[in-house]
Amino acid sequence: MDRVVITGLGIVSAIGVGKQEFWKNALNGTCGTSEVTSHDTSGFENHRGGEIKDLDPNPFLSQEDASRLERGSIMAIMAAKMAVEDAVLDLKKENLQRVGISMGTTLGEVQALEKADRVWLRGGQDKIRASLLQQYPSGNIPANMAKELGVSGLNIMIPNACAAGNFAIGYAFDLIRSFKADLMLAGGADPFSWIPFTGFNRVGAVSHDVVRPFDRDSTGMMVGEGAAVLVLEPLEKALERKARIYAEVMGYGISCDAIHITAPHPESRGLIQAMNFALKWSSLKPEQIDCVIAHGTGTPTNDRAEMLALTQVFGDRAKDLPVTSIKSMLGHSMGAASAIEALTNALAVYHNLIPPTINYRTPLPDFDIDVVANKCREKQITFGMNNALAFGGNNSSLILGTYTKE
Amino acid sequence: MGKKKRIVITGLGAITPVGEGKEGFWQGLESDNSAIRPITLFDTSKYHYNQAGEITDFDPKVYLGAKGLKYLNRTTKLLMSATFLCLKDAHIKNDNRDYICYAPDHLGLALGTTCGILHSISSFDRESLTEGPRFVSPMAFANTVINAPAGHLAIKEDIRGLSVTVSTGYSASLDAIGISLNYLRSKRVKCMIAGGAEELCEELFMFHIGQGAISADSFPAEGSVIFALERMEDAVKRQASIYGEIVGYGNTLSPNTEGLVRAIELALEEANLEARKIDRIILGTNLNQQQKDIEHKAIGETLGSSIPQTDLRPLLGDSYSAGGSMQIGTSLRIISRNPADTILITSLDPAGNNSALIIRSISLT
Repeated sequence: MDRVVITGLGIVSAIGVGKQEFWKNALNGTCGTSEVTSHDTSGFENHRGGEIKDLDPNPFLSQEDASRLERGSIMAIMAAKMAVEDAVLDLKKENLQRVGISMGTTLGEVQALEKADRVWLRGGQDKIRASLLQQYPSGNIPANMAKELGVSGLNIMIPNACAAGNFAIGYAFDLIRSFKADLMLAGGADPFSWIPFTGFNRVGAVSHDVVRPFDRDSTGMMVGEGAAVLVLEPLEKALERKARIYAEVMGYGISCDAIHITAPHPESRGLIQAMNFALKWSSLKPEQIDCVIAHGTGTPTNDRAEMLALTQVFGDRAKDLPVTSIKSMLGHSMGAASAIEALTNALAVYHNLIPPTINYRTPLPDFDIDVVANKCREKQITFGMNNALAFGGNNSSLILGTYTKE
Repeated sequence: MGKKKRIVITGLGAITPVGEGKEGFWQGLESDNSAIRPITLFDTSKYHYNQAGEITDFDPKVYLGAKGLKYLNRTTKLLMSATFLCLKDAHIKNDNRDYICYAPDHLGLALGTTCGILHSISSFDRESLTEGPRFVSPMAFANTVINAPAGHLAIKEDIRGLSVTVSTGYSASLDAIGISLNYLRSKRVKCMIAGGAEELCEELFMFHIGQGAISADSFPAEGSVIFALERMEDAVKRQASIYGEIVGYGNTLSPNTEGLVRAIELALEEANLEARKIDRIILGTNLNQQQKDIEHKAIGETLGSSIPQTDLRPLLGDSYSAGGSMQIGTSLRIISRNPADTILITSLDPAGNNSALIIRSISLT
């Protein structure tokens, strides 16, 4: 059988760098959003975001290496090195040509572009602009990770906006199952920057105080940042090297709404389809899912669309199915978000603990859903689902399960 | 995984500097008229060069109608036009844009583009700085995400199975085909619409200058070539005309000769072919001298330097992530003329991505 398991986790987030710090803070309901300091926000009505303050690449990258890389690559390399270390992998002993990288993002190395634009507007040198633009292609993120780690297998960037991490993990899962790789590092990365902060504010999607997903009084999302990388490998390999198995990748579903470039389908058609596909590919029934790590951005439109989809897919059971949104703590880390949520899913399955949705006060009327409100919850989780929606009408659903011999 | 599902190409749509539509593109490949012409899309007066493979006479209204084009960027319009032509060519849709043989859920989309929204995002950014963040258009923000062209296309053609964008620079079109093979073989969808699209803009021009890739005889370009891919049994069942079969795909990350050699070997291995079975190679469209040198060495090591080579650069220029789609479109032309030919397509990116694709007529297997 072509079973694929997750054996290593690496994360850079607004509530912690590294799996341990992240998980401790996630369970404690730590709020990672704060006043934005990297940009002048005086022209905006909202001033908060999920920035990672004082990002320190040490000890993962030398000062010199970090200085020639952009923030997306720096965070992705940090997460990848942590994931490899967490998986207790000695890459030197691996066939490096069979180690691949699959990553997602929304805006890629957008900070390089922003610098180039500022040079342009100041009438600065074309040479400087041209050299900054070399950093912009988002494919540089997985390429830089591969160079840093010394791996040379299949390498891909799937910039599928805010569902990109799940798409990248799904492809990595397929590549292992079709014997194209022995080991995959998969996830997502996105830096906080001026453009998404401006854009999301302009579309009126941003909350001014806190992110309050699935709440009657939720007013919006908050732009964040981060990176998460998961180590995926065939079960046989993991058993052979006696690796710690966080979870098994059961299957994933993807779909496209094909109706609106930014808003979800009014009847959640695509998300329902993606969740149903994930269940089908995992050979699972809805009642076997023990928790859902939701997309949960905190915008009323998203939250209603998700609640509707959950109600449709899980029926009467939806009211007893714990659903949580870690974006209540992190804000929306865009292309990294679903990778961070997949990592959270893996930890939830491994520890039988579900992190809370913080800032939760009043349920959404019309929906009877069990939101994991404000306190983490202990529950036997055999199968966990994490969902993501995105600009472009992209939907994705990933199911992870407790590893058992059967 | 059992026996590999055979994947074939059943449709081609093209908007290129040498011609539009399958016929226009193929005829353009055989004419001696280079696509190079003075740039009109932006002011080039401050640059040393002002020539490019700009599709100056491109009129999306011909393919897409006049409505709804206002908020689409040039990449999206190139992509949508090429896809419209492809779906028609493959007889997947009729003239009224209705699906003939597949349901919307059966279709997937994989687009290779890396800088397809570069001008849109840079314009948004600069406007937010000069006009103030409260005065930029919310619609313009939607076009700053890298998957915006694919997203708009999925809406236009009602593609609901899946949509992915692949941004691996010069190898993006080939990698979009690679990921399509995966989705078709794993039976996620029945038909993949796949290819590449890239628009010419001042930011991309600057990017090429930064690579040291523009000179008097090498020029940047733009365009989109899109293909319909299906499992062979489905294509045969619906009596589709088949241009060729994708028999091998390989991808590696290694910025040197070894990396491309290995990508070629992986493609040969998947195709179950020896190197001597390759009749022709269509070279990558990357203008960067360093990549050209790597390619030259890698071909020498794998296929021998006497292998017939097609270099599209003098004719079509360098359309970055769309270049691979033009190479594939060219390979189908060669196969239509010489059905006995097995064609290798290579691409390599300065970041280190190397991809190789092998295409041949189904009559050869």
